[in-house]
Amino acid sequence: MKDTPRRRATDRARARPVGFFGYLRLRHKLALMLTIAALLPVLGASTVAMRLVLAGLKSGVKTQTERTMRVALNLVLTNVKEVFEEAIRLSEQAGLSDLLLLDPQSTGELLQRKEQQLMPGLVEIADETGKVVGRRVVGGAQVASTLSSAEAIRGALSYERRVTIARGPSPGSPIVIRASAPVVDDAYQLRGAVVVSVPLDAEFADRLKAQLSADVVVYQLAAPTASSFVAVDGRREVGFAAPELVSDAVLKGSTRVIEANAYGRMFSVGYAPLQDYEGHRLGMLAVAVDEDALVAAKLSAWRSLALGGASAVLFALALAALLSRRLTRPLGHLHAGALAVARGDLDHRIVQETGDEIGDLAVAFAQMTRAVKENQERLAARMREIVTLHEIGRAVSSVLGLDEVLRKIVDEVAQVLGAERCALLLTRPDGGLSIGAGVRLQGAELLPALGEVLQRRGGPVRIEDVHQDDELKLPADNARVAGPLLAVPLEQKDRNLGLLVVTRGTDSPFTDGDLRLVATFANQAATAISNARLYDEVQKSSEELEIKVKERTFELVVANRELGKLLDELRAAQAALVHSERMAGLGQLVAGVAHEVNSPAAAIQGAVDNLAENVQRLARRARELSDTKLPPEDRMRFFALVEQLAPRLAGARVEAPALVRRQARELATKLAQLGVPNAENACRTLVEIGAAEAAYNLAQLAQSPAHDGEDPGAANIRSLEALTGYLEQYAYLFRNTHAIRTAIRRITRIVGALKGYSHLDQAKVSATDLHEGIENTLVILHSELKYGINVTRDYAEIPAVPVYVDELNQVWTNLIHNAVQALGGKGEVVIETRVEGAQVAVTVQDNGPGIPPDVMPRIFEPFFTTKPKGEGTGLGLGIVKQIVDKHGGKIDVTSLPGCTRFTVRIPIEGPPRALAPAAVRATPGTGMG
Amino acid sequence: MRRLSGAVVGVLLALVGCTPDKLASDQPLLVGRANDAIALDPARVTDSESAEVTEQIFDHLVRYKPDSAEIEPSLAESWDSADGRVWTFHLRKNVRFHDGTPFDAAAVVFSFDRQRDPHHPFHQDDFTYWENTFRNIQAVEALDSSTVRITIERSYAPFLSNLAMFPVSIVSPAAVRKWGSEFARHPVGTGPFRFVEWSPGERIMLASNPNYWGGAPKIQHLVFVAIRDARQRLVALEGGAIDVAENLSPEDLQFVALHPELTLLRVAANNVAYLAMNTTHPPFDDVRVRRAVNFAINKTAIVKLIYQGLAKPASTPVPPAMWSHVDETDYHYDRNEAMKLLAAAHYTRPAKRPRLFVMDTPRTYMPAPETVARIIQHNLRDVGMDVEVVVNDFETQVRMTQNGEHDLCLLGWTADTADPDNFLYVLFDPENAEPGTARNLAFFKNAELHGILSWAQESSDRHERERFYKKAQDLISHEAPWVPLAHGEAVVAARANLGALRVHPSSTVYFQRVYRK
Repeated sequence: MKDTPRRRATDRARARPVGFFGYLRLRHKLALMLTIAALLPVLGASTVAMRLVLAGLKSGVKTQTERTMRVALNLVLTNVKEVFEEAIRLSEQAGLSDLLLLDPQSTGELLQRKEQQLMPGLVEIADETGKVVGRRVVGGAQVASTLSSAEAIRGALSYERRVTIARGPSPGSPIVIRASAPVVDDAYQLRGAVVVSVPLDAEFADRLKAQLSADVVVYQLAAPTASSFVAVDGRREVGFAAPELVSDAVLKGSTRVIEANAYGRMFSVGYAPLQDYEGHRLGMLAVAVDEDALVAAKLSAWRSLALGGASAVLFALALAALLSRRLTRPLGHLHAGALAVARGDLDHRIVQETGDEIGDLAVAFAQMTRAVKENQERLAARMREIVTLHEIGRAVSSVLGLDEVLRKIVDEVAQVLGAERCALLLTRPDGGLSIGAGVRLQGAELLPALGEVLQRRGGPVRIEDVHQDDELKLPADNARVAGPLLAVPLEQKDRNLGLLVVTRGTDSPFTDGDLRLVATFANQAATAISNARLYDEVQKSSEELEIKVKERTFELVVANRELGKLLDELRAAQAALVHSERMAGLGQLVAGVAHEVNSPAAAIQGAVDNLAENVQRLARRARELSDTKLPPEDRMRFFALVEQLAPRLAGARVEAPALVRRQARELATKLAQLGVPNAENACRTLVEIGAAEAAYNLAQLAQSPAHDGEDPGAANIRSLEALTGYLEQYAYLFRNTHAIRTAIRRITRIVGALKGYSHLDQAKVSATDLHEGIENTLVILHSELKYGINVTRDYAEIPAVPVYVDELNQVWTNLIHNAVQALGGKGEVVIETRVEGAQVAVTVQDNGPGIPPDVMPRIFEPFFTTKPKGEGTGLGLGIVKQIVDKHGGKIDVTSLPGCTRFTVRIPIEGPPRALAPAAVRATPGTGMG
Repeated sequence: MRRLSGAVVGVLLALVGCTPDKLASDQPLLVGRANDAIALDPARVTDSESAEVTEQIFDHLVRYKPDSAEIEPSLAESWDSADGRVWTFHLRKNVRFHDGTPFDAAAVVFSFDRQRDPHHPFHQDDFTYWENTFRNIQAVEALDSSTVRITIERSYAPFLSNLAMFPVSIVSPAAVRKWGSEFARHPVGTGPFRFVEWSPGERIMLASNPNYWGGAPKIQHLVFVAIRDARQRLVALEGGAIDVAENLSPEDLQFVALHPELTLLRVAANNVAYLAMNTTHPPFDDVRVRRAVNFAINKTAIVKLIYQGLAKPASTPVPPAMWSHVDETDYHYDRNEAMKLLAAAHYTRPAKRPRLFVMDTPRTYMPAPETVARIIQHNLRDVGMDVEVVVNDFETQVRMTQNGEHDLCLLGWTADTADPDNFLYVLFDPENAEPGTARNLAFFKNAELHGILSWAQESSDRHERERFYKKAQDLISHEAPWVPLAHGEAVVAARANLGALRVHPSSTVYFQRVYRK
């Protein structure tokens, strides 16, 4: 056994255990498998065999029991026959018939004499009337005297010879065999009858047992009546009970064999029915076969199985151990060999030890090693070629000059192949070849001619000796070329660019490998050539392109100048439009203002008319008041109250009539509770003028003395009414004057706003409170706003900002107007002002439907409008933007359905100087700035 | 490879697990009889042992229904006759003999003609029944392959019943041609069982015919064994060695009744046991003497003692199962009446005692002939007539009585057909009273009776025939040429686990439907 290399190798290269069985070595696996292979069949076969044997034994016992049962049955029937024959013999006894005729009583003595020949039981002799005249109990059998033999006697007296099995007199008494025969004389005249009854009792059971070698139990129906079993104390057992299932089945006519445990032992018991002549089942007969033998057999069978199994295991293990070692040793050698190869020692040889599969493996291994070695060498050669190619490739890709590339190629080819001559021939435009580059081409000027001949052949040409070829012989001589020749065409995209020709010494023809190499070089050359050509073309093209570009640029400049002119014209037109728009806006403004002024004027007129009447009524009420003869201090108090209330009453709201009536009623009720009844009228008046809280005070003041013949209460009412009446008129007076004042204020405001708004021609910048401008605008637009538009102001502290006031006002107008339009006349408008760094931001927000995203980019475009034709020019927002730009500010818009915000941001320091009005460009804004 | 080894293992396991239970159902059914068959060519057979076997192997044109005397189709599906003379039978199709040859009209013609025509190449000398029963067949012709025409001498009512008898079973012409007279040892028919082999004196083995037209039998093998001793037969039955035992002695039959695994099959058989008085020998030429004898004999005692109850006392020759049976009798056991009649006939003791011939062996219809003779002897002595009992062996008995050598004889008769003609004509007609071949052992020649019986034979009206036969019985009873003693039962003992086992009144058991439970 070689050891050292193996041990070294195995130390470094053990397989990783895979899976559960991976921890076992092959020998162990073999050993295990062999053991199993040996054991399984053995165990399997022996278990099966044992099962069979035991089953056989069992069925053997069963069969034996059945057989014994049948034998028992037959013995019983034999007994029956014997009883029958005894009855017949007795009936044919010589002299019996005479005896019956002459001296019936002495038949008993006859029986006594014959007792020895009779079976244990009861023998009866009857005369021809059926009366029993002779009777003998034989053998001391405990047969009760009340056996009903009357029927048997009757049968016998009708000449019948019959034997049957009958029941005992009581359920616990044994079954009885009964035979009857007629006694006839020589003339076959009936003289009497003989009946023999033999019970199947314990003695009977013993007799059966002696013949069967098995115990016997006799049953009447399902109850045991007699058996051969004797207890240890010598007492006779009556027998064991049968399972109900069994007795049911047996009493229906079948036989059964079961296993039963009785008296401490296991028995196989066979049951058979006992039936009478008519087939009625009267009881059962059971034979019990001892099963101890069977049990013992079972035990010994198991024992031997265990023993056999154990020895099989041991034997198998030993054999397995021996075998596996022998098998795995050659594998170890293979292992060492593999490791040697891995190390790189390809000369290592495996020795074939055995002629089996492992030996095959060893042989194959050696082959493999050889092949690996050869391949290695081949690979090395290949590597060299590849390196060369790599060089060439690099050269080709780095050097653009075609001549250099070609030169490099032929040099390399000549070097690698060890060529004598090497030439790259290029195809001229006229189809011929010329030398592009070459190595050792002295004297080979006529090589192209040879090349042309070769080229005509099409495809690569490899010749062992060019002089052997008739066609090439002459051109080759001319070109001073001899020996092996290799020519590969240069082809690029089906264009033949040239030919690469190589020649070598006569004793080394070109191999396939050489051909492949040259072909690769030829490809490289072809690629290089076509690359070079392409490069030239590119150069030419780019020059031409430059010229063209120059021409184009000149044309563009000219066009640009013309465009500039057009632009100026457009701008002028735009300014004019803006102006006219402003005019239009102004017209709108004037109309609005006129409308606005109308209403306060009317209000004033109305109030004045009212006042006239008011004053008259007031005078009357004053008179009434004086009639009440209020004490002076009350009067003073009243007037003070009036003065106190009146201004408040001026601004009181008008309530709904129903509400007024309710409140009046409540008030009157309260007053009544306080002792001032019937004050409804007064209360109503007070409520109407909004002076309900003064009711009580007035009531108190109205406590005036009554006129003569007048109810004091009525007088109080009268007074109260007078007071309230005066108060009422006073209130109206105030109201009217208040209305006039309000209207006048309004007019003043409108006029003021107008003034502030129409700084049309003042193209001058002045620091302004932007809020004022916004307010003015709101006033101007009041008519638009007052129905349904809710304006909310969210003003912050903002500094005065130098602005073009009127223009900015236009902005506010536009934005608010747009908002109103968007809201359709009903909604919320919020105006915010903020300071943002160096800017002031004014936001106009509405909760209208919003600006759709597709419209958004264009809203600041001049003439862009979403309104139908005729409704607005759409210049609004465009102008707004212009104005904002003029101020050096920015306008932004965000819009979602329900919230559209236009935010104007204006630098606090004012509009920049550089942005003169004329420089405003009419370009569409981006809107989303 | 793996699959193969798996298969091998599977096979081994299967073999191991195989139990022998299956084989039980193929157990043959054994029938034990007293004697072996004599021959198995149905036309040549006369004994019941042979007939029982041939009845399993062959079919006839018609057969009896299982429990009655009615005729039903067998190999003939239908038949018609306009005049009672020419009968056309339409045969069953697609039936084959056991040797594979087809059953057709030609086979029927062959079966009949070989018996009818003495010049037939396969005629034998001992076609006994043909002589007695089928003499009147004139011609048998095949009209086509499934139609046969039989012409008889004259219209004969029992004709159809006779065709249900075993002698006219249809045999395979091919087999007869092949075996010649040895056909009796190599029978080939169309029946439910086919012949396998015969160890003479021991056993005959039959196997089931799976293609039987009436349904294949469930029993695969049927074996008839001969066990001479009756007690041994009983023991074999009790032990299970045989499944069916025939001809057990009546006493032994009691044990069968007591045995839980055995069962008794009883059926009223078509037979009669009788005491015939030779009316040509005095004193029995006097009707009064004959009547006296009728009164003198104690039939009850005989039936009970001898038959052990397995018989009925006879009142007339015609058994109770047969139609036209008359139950009433003119006679009963009455010594005084007998003595009165003897006195009226001026009977005196003759010098030579009248001889009573009796056979020594039990017959189906009479289990203990000698004892019967003794009882009768005693009965007669009791009324003052002294007779001598002469015991013969059966063959001698038959010969001597056929010659008319007896004064009194004890014999019996088992019918071959279920037609009263088979009793009354055969046993009482003057035509059958020729010494040497006589069946009418009373040699009773009564012209009136002859007329009645002839008429009945020709009539095809059943009711009319019944009237005739009743009249005939009255006449016979009145003239008392016999003392009809008993009609025995056909009794067969069998194991209780056989199903559909029935005894035919002809004492034959048909095994086609029998099965093991």
